[in-house]
Amino acid sequence: MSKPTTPAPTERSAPAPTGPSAGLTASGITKSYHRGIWPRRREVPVLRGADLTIGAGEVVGLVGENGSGKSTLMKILVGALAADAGTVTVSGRIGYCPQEPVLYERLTCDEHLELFGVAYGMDERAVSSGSEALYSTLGFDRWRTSQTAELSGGTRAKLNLAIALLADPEVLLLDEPYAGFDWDTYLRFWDLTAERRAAGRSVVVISHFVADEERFDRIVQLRDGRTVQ
Amino acid sequence: MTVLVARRAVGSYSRRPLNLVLLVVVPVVLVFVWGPSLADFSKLFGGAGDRAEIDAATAGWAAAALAGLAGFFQVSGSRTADRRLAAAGGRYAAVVAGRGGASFCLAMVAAAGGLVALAARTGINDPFRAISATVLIAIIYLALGVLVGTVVKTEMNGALLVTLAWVFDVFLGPAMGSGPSLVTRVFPLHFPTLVLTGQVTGHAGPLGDVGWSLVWAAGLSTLAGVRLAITIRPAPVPHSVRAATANARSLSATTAVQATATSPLPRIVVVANLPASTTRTTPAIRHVRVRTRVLAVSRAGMREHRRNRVLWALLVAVPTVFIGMAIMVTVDVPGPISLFDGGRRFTGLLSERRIHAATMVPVTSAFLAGLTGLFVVTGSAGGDGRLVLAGLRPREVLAGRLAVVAAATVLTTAVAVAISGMWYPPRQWAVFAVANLLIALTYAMLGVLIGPLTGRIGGLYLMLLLAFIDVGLGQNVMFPAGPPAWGAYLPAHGASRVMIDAAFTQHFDQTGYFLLGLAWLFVLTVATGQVFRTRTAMARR
Repeated sequence: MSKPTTPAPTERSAPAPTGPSAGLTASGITKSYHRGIWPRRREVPVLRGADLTIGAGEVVGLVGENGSGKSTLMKILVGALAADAGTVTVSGRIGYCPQEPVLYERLTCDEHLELFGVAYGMDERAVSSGSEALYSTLGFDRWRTSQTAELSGGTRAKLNLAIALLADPEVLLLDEPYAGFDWDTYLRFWDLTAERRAAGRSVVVISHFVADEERFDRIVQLRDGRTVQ
Repeated sequence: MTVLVARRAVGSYSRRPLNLVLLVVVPVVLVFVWGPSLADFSKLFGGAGDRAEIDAATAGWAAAALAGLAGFFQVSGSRTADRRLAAAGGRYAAVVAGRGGASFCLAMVAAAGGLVALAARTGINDPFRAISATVLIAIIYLALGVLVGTVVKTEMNGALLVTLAWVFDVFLGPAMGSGPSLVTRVFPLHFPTLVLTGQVTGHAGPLGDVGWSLVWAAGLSTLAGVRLAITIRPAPVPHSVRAATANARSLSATTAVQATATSPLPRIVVVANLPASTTRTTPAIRHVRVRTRVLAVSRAGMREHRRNRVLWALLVAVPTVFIGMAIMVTVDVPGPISLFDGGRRFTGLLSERRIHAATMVPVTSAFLAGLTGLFVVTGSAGGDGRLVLAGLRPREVLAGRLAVVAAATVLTTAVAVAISGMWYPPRQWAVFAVANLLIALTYAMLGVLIGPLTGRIGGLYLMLLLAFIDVGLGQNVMFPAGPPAWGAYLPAHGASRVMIDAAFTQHFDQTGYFLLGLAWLFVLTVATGQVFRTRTAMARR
């Protein structure tokens, strides 16, 4: 269902590096959820014309109140959810880390990375070296042969993030990736992000932490279904 | 707190639309649709086939099906939260009582569902007997569901166990003619069903049929209550908890100071920087062959499902026990069957037990294959969606999943064919096996198809109803007048005719029906591919 996407006049849409350097551009994204059963079915608008552009080598924080539509916007950007209206343009591949780990319960960490490596189109050597580096960086090497169902919440979160990072994609969309991380891993995550920025990758991180603000190049806020800065 | 927990639990049940739909659909299907056919079915197995008795029994069976799964999902879906609630308030007995009370309410609702359907269809001749026996049956199955919910961790295995217990109880129970069988006397619904249908066993001893029914209800309820209490009770708190916490904090702080630099990650070279467009660009790298990708998904799927030992055990054990018992409880008398062999149509006279041995194979393998398809596709939905986002095509992921489903289907069909063939070898072994495999694959595909549309629980009920209405009733050649006419429009029709031909005649002469069976499989496979693609291909839109 399409909706008018005029931004509120008092708010400035999130600015956008344009042209060839933009890794991801989204404009006029609208999305409503339908709740309840007829005759009590109702429409709950979540996004009302959100715009977002991320340049190459840019780390952007996406913030907003609970229920403001951050995860919905990210799912639309990554292609996991259809928007009612709007356009999304992505140059290159996307690495997506969903808020809740989406994993196979009876596969081990190694088997996850092997499977997703094939999905990303990586050869065995690249999967192997990428996995080793991620095990080492995120510190969950000793769990590599454990099935997901046996892992702690924090280790599941590490595997969830590792899957998104494995192919070193041009655009990284991370939905609260460090929930459940210990302090050491949290710091390593930001080191990883800095590396990605230096390599010209575009990174969007949904965050609730005020302390993270200084780590972003730019912060985009979702308010009333629109992106503002 | 007890009342609040119970109220919230019942409210939670009612907020799930599927529960309300099933509350209506299950009694209606069992009482209105199955009732008349099951009376004929009962006669074939040596039962009285009394229509009034079967009608009364269907009300109890509907109550058992609803109560069993409601009990199981009550516990499996809430045990962690209940434990937290108990730990928060320190009153775990109240939480157990609340959960138990809510479960009891659901059992009453389930019993009411069955009784209302029965009243609407035939009326209730002996209200006291019907109401009390149906309530007892609902309580017994509720307790069974709760018990399974406290023991079995995964939803899939637990729901399957409760459903299989129900299938055994119903189809091998006294209402279907196996009253005298020693084996079936240990089933939970043996005595309550006899009470409900107004039969007298003569083997209940001084306790009587009512007494044994009460013993089952009280015994299972007590066991379920104890297990529920053990499951919800918070773990005892160690005395050194404060010291341990302090140590943990201290360690955490030390570690934080020693944060290390990261290792460099390998870089993947982007082959072509795709131009910006109004739609999503495709991944830049795709040098892995299709075959490799499909094999990777198949291998991962096989690994994952191989580790679910309960599932594989059921795929082997259920055909063994179910078919074996069905043969044992069938009265061995001759019965007519319409056959076609060597260009000649004729009515043969064969042992009912032999016919039943052959017809139980597709019923069992279709049901189990359908459940496997359902559970495989629903269990991997989230991960499969992520694989598609990562770069795999939906059809590659689906091919991998179907390979797992096919392997499980071949296994369970092979076991079913072997068990049946050990008792009564079919005339054409290979054709018999292929026909049964065709039916099972058709139902496996149905499971894969309906999984994303109905979810696990709705799909479980639907597979049960479809398999028994189509394969068990619609294609059943044991009825005196042959299979009902409406059976010709159902998926198992063509392959069932081939199966009968292979079991009892020397020559294969059912090519048309074989092609019909293949056509059903093809159509369902195409529909499955479409549904799967729609569900997972958002990234390609």
